[in-house]
Amino acid sequence: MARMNRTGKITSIAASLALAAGAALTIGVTSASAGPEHAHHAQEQAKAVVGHAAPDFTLTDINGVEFTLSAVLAEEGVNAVVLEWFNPDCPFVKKHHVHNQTMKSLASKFEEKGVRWFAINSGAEGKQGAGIDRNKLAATEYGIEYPILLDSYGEVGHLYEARTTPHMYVIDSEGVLAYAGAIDNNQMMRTLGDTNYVEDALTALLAGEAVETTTSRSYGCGVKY
Amino acid sequence: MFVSVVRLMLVGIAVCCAPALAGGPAAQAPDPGDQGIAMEHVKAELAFDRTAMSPGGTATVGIRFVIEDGWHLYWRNSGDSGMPISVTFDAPKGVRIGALQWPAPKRHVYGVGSVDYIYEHEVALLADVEIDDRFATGDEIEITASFELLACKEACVFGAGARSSVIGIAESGSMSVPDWMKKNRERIPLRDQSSLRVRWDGTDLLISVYEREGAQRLSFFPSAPAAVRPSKPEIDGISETGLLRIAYSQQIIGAPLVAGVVEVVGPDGPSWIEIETTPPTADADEGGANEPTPHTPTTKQTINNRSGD
Repeated sequence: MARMNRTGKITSIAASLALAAGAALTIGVTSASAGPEHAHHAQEQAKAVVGHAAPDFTLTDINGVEFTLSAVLAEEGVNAVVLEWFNPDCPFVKKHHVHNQTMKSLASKFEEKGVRWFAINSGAEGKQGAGIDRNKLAATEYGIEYPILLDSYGEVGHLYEARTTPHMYVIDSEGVLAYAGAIDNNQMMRTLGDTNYVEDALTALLAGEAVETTTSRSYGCGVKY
Repeated sequence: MFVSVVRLMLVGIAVCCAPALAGGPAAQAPDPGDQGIAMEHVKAELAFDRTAMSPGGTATVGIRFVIEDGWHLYWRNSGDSGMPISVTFDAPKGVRIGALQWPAPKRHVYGVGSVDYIYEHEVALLADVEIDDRFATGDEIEITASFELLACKEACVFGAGARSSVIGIAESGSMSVPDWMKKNRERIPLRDQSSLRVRWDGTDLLISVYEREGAQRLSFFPSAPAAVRPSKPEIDGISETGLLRIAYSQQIIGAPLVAGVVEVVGPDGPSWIEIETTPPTADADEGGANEPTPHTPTTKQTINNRSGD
């Protein structure tokens, strides 16, 4: 039965993701040499739009583990996915990872409710905060337990039009992009917002309710493509 | 008598050096109270535009940031990334400090069609100061400006600090406007948008100059609403035709206000104008998204407060 349920979910998600992907259902970043070719595929794929299927992708994390969005969504018990654009040396990332525990607390709070959280670093090689070594160190320094995916050619970043670190995306269990924008409503460095958009979106999705704020303007450092 | 002893201790160096720095070309050394790596690349100072204030009189205070080559700071709307400079004034009772006046910024286009609004090399944020009649000749007033900023080059770094300056009260003072204050004041946008035609065509904001002869280039620096960015500011935020057509998404419908600064570059050089306009309502949009009339919303002139300050 578990297998049947999972299959049914896969079918549903695949249908959604196919809408976004068009002819190229997925892009993959499985090796450093794959950049230019995959960049071409990324351009063919539909961009991320709230209310539509989130573009599928495959990326490898700092420990060499490969993740495919559609496969994650198809896992038993997964109710939503959060993507967090990440650069460990950006002051705004530090705001929410070092000076405050915004990301860690939220990821932890929603983990048991079936929310999978991924950080994605689209920094190009040699740019601030990029590379496997720096991000491995950051995972330790910041106590990040969720996967940090490396997107050094920026393909997935461009697909999602990620502008800042952080830039947040919430994808529902059917693979539909439910929220894109800022983590909260305060751009200033020393003050947290009084509205956390990601928390609100996840809370609504898990309650089976409509997400009230589906987009906001992200803030942070520019992504170091 | 109005100077806080504690604050004097905290900002001693800045206070003692302010008069000497006011007209000088070089920025002061980093303050020991500065915080963050950004202050290795940005020097700050605070000064008045005159040597003394008369009882019940007015003055202008300015905080100047000298920015290392290659680095930049951010306007009141930072754009797609960054953080606006934040300044908070601390002054004794009886001193009224007006809204921050922001010189026009520069567009910085990069990345995935991102646009930031930035300052390079130097910027000074100004504010009007008024004192009431509790101050008499011989008194002194200390004003402290606490600031936070983000300085970016290839990477971004945070900085914070405070600068203070003291001005005396005298029957007669003389103007002593630092060159940097004059230069930045010239870039403060005018609050009279009567020279511009501002209207809506569906969800496109149209801006043109009534006297189009000689107007060579128009640029728009949006400041409100903060939550809605123009759809393609990297493309349509600047025009060489004398007409700006700035596309917004449907999100702009019903927003209380769209505001920003228009830069007009003509034969006599650039000028800057604050604009405010009410975007279309849902009814107007349904009635004819591509017709400028009869659904053209009204525009109104900014009088006192700058949106985004």
